[in-house]
Amino acid sequence: MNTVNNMQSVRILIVVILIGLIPPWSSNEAMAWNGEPWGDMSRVEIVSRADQMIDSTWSPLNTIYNFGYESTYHYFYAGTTYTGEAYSQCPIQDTWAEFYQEVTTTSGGTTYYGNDCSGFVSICWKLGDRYNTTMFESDATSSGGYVDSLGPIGSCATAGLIIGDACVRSGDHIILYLESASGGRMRSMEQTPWTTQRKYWYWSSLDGAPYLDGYRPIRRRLLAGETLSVSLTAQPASGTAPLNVNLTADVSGTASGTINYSFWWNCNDLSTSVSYVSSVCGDPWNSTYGAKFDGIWDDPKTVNHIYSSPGTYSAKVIAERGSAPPAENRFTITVNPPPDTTPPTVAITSPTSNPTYSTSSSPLSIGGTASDNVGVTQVTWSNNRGGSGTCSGTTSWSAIGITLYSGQNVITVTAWDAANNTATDTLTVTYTPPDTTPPTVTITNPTSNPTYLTSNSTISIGGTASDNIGVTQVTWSNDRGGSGTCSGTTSWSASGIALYTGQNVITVTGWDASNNTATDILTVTYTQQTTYTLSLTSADSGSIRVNGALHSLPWSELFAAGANVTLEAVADTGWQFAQWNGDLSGSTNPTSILMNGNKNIWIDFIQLWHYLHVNSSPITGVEIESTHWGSSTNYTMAAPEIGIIDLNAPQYVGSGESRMCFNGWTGSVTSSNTYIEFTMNEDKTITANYVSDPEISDWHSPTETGVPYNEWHDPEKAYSTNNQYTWRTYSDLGRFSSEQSYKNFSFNIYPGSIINGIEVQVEGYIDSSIDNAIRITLFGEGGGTSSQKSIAFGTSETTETYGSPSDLWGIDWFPDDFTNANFGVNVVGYAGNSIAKQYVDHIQVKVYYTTLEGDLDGDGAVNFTDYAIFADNWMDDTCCDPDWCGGTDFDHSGSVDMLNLAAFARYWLEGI
Amino acid sequence: MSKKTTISIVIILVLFVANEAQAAKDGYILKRLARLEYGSGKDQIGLLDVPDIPRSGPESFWVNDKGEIYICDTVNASIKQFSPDGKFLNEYPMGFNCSDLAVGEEGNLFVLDRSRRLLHQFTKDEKQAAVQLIDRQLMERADILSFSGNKLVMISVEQEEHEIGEFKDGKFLLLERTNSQGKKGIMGRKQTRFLTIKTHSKRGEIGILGKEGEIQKKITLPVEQVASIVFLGQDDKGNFYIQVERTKAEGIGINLSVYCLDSEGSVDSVIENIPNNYLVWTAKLLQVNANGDIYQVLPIREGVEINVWMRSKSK
Repeated sequence: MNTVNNMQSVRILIVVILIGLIPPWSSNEAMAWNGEPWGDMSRVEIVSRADQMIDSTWSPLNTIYNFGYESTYHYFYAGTTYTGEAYSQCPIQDTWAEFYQEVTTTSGGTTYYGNDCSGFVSICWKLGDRYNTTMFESDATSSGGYVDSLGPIGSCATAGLIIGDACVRSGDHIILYLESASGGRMRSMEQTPWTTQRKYWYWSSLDGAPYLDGYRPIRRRLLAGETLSVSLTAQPASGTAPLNVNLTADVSGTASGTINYSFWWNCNDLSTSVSYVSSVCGDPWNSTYGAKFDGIWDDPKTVNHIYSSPGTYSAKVIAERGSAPPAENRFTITVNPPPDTTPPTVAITSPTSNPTYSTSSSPLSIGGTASDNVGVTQVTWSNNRGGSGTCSGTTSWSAIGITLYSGQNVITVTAWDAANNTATDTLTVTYTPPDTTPPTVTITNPTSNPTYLTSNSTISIGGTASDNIGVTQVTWSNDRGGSGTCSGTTSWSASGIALYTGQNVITVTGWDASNNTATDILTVTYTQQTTYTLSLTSADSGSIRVNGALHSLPWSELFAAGANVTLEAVADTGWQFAQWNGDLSGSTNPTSILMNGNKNIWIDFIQLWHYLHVNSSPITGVEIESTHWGSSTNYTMAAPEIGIIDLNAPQYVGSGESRMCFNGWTGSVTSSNTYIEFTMNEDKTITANYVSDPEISDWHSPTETGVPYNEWHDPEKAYSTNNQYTWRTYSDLGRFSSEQSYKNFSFNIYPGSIINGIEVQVEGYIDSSIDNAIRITLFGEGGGTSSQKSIAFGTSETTETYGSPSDLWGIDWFPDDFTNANFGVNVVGYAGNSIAKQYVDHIQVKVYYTTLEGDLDGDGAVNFTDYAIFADNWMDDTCCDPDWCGGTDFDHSGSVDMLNLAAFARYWLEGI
Repeated sequence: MSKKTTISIVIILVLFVANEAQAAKDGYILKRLARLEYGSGKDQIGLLDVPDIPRSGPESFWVNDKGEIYICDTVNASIKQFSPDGKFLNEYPMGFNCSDLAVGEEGNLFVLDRSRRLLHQFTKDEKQAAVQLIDRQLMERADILSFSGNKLVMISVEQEEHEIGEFKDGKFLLLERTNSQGKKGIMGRKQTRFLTIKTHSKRGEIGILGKEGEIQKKITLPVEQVASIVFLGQDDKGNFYIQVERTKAEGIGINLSVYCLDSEGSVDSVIENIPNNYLVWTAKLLQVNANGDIYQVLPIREGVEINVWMRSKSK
């Protein structure tokens, strides 16, 4: 107070004096509270009393004024509503009822209605006396009395205040503790000018100066029903061994003061007696069994313990505090063994142990086995196509009702253990849905119609059937009696089915593997009335149209007696109808027949023929081949109307000077090819034409001698071979001499031909073996003389040939050289060293030549007609034997090219 | 000057220098701006200290961003204004006992009359502009006036802001009815809301709230034996300040400290051992301004101290 200025101190002193002078026995004194019978009370009652004084409203009947700061009184105005009992610093304190009675009846003026802070607490605590703050402090720090101290001055923040407790500062102020507000500030219930109220306190204002002006936490004694409870929690509450657990005990209740905690790591006893539980579960001071803490303020209190072994433990705590009965609580801790990492096993054994399975049945049932080192908890299944579920059983499990989908279904079965380890097995099920598509069946024989009339007592039927999968069998049944299985499936038949007079419904049923069926029905009317069979046949090519319907032959069917059936014979191509035979005659077509009995008719058709006349010109007797009849000459052949006939004429006929060359077909068929094909659709006359095409002459003998030269006797005897000789005797030894010529050999070489070679043949001998020879030379009209050739005879007659097919004897020859009568052979003899005779039987000449190139039409001249043929084949490169492109490919190279043109030009206009 | 007096002065100086040095090390420098005498004079603060009457003194104060200090001179039923260096500036007679106050930067003065549940608004010319009756339920739970952006709010013990009025068209208008529906958390200067939590284990946490009042980030202070934890405010740099009361190890007495956290929530500095020998009940213990300076109006037995922990330039 020594820092308060003097003036203020004086004013306060005056106020205190004034307060002291106010007579406590004022008009309101009789109603003042001055203590109540002391005894138990609850905290609820404390708060209730405080709330009434804080929250009640009042309005003075007349304006009053109570104690105010310094010399100023505080006014409460009539008609104004106030909340909370008024502050009045007066030894006589009012309860709410007293205060309300006073203010609502007051005549106004200076009053002391209400209470002050210590009066407020005294009333709330229902003390036996009205205490001021000094008395509260004094009582709290001494034994007995109305209040206990909860701690030293400055310990309100740590005293563990409970609602209804108080903090008092001697000579100053006292407040009731209501609650701890957000952020930790304290909320009070108190009487502080000018009305009772609740306020928020910083702890600094209570405990900030503990040794100077701090507050002391205090508690009313005889608080009825002081309670204590404790909760125990574990963190974590479960886990894998070793498990490090924090056990936290949290006490609550009205009990106050320090706390004794007794923890046991594992104790199921329910007792709250520490000594008893210690005897049962062990001494908590021994860390083997638990932990113990006495006289501490910690709330909550946490201890740590490591549970080494798997198992279930019941941690226990007993809390002791104040006068409240001890409280206990337990908490179950589950310590699990190390995690199970071993997966189970599972196997599908039903419907198969194989990985695949096929079925047409759905849903599917499966089953199997599973195992695990700890235990299988469940087995589930799933279908990759959809659907899943839990199987019944574990180590032996099954599942039913698994819906299958068409195609492949992968059924996965999973076995689980408690640690969620899994194992799977799969079964791939191929599901083929049942076949619901029925087959089809059709009766086609004896008719496709639904009805059939017959007079036969049995019937044969037949037809077809089909199915999306396959027809397994076809059966028949007659509603009149009888049934059977048909032969065949997709094409089926049944014979000998007995018929009964009247209507027989023949039902044919087609079946598939899924027993789907289809039926066709033929209603057969079997009548006893007369029917006749019309049978038609033919050995030829044709068919029959019966009542307008065309049928192949043979054909037969029943007709009712008296039916008039129209028949028309229809000949195949190349044939024509000839006549009816059997039960029908004549050649009328179409015609009809009355069915007055069984009718058997056969029909004659005749084949149409044509004649082929084949010959050759100008020569006859050329063998012309045909694949139909071989080779023949000048013949007439009959051929079917529709037939492909081929003919093949030889390219050459004859040889030597009489050789003929094929020159084309004329008549019904024209062609330059030796091989022809044609259709015999009419009579045909075809001629193979040939032209002369010699290539070598015959041996020609001379018909005339030329120079008669001395010693050759009878030279004309060399004209022919007849063993009549012309001869000579050599006397002029050592030289050739005695020349004899022969000429007029009657050659006829085709004009323009190319002379290729000449051979001279001499037949003769010598009468002794001497050195001899004859020398032959050729000469022609132009007087040219060929080179000479010599040959020696032997003593036996021999025929010696001089020259060759390619020996031109040293000069160029032309065809007319040989046709000229002056062409001849000159023979000269020779004797070496003795005289001898030479005999010549005959002398012949043969000419080798090639027919004139360019004379393509064979007219003996290379002219414009030939040019036209040549031009027509020009540049044709497909020439081949035998035609060689119409003769223009002279060198047979395969093409008519520049070389052929050069050859053609060479003989241009030859023969004209 | 006697030898004893000289020794005392030397000791006081040594202690003062030591205190300054410790504050500087923490990034703050403590300055005692004034020690006001008790009394009814213009530059004095009233104290009612009569046996068995609740001791009463200055119940609250306000510091604006200029550093001017306004003190609820509750006993003298007035507001006292002091300069940033602690010099008396002005007195505003109220005619009622001030419970708390807030001063807008534009000069509006808002004063709470708890006993009558009235909020008084005074304009800069000291004229009373409006009086608002505070909802009883709100008054029961809220006791602190503050600004939240451009709104005047009352802060409840549940740390909810209840709007009382707001600036409109350059004028401040009180709502016709106080808003008993509060908004969770206390708004800082950076449009962030804060919530302080004292845990069951007597630790302190700070929740940074989202738009819907949900805790988006939680910061745990490195303290134990927390008795109370209060959000003081946020400075212009985004640092925010937490007032913490802790029980002492021996269970007697309270430590008062302030934790300064940067905008990321990391503890930047701590001001420990703030004197807290409050002689009377006060609505607030400390206040932080835009610079991050922490002010205290401490009614002790010897008078009313105005202390400030100035944030060093580097911070």
